[in-house]
Amino acid sequence: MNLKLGIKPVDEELGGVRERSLILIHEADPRSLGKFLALHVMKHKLDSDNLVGYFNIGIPLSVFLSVASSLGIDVEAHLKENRLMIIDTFGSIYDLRTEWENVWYLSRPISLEVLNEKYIEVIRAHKEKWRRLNMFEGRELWGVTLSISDYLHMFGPQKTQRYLELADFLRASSDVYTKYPAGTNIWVYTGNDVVVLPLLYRKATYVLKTESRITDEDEVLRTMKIVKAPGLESMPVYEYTFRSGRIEFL
Amino acid sequence: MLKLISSALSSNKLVSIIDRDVASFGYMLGLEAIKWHVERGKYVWVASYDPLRSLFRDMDRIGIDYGEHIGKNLLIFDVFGSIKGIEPEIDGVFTLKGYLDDNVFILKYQKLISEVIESLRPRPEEVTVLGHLESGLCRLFKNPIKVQKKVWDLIRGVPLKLSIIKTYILPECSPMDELVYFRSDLVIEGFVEKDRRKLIVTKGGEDEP
Repeated sequence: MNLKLGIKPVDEELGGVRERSLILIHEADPRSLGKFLALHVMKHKLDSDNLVGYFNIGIPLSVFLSVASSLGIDVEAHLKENRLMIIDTFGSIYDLRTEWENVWYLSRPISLEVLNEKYIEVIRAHKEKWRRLNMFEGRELWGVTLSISDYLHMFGPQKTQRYLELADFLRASSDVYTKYPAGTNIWVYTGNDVVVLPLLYRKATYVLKTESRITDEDEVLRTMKIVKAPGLESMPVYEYTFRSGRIEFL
Repeated sequence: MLKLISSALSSNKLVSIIDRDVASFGYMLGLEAIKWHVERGKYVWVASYDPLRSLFRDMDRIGIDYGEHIGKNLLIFDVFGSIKGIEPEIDGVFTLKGYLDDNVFILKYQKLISEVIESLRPRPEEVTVLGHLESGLCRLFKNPIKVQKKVWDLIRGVPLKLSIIKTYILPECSPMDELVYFRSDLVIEGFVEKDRRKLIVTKGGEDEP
């Protein structure tokens, strides 16, 4: 089954994305604001009463909350109504905690070796909660991760590569994805590297690459390229703007 | 450009200036932006990641009479001096003493902020904050990205209205623009093109096409 992403070119050209697929948003440079595409999808899905698990990897939660609020995402309300759950990895590692319902922290000590198991533990507990509250019925389930590239700053490229390979293996066999519904995932990756990024390009079902440049007229040109999608031979490119916290495709 | 920055600051937006070239000097706009506030007696907190003498030299160039305001409404946190163990002993210039590493720095900085706020009489409702050349984190800390993130998190607990401006010279610390672009409401980039200095708004300008 295909789901609408809320990103116009993807919905119009591809008819949406496959349920349970992995969408990689490759923010090639931070000025392209690829992260905001992910947050745009998050807002769209929460506003239409779907379930979202937000994986906060490398940003202080306070910073994420400021940005979300500037985009009109009422995080507190979505948490309260059990639509949104957050796993705060940054806060778990650096001991910066916000005591809100549906915001989860990983138990310490945390290293890349045990991170997978800790995620699975928390995801299981929260999915059980969603099941108990009968929240899955009639709703889409989405996972949004900001950002996979943060692991590189925290643990280094080789360890991150190993972690992602292992995650693939462990998750394939975990009951969290068989006993309970599995979600459609958006991973954001910022920058370019030759160790981890190629792995993600292969793993993802869809790759959306965002780039920006300054034109001769001294204006910022932002583009999104559909680099990978099932059945797609060419790589169409679309321009978009970011104004008053809103992404708009031309 | 200065008008745009002032208007953003007055509505408590977070403004960042990124120099892509060492010769673009866009960061001077940060000092120009606080000049107005300093001269009107408003509280200004400058966290300087550049040596104190360099900061004073740049303030002279802009025409900020720091001698007149320092210790009154202009307060300077000398990060560079703190890490290098240089204590200038000027009233109104703060340094952290004793052992410092990435984590201890944040803990002590947090404590310093509380102490300074407590000491201000009368207690202001609003403070303008300049993170002067935050890209200096790269030469001062082991994990500068982590420290940058924690510094940005510090404002969470401050019980005052803040107008914040941060400046960066990107060649000195290239991965810093990621958080800048994510969190800032207004971003201005300075660069050199065909022997001319340019400043353009790259996020948050209403005139984006």
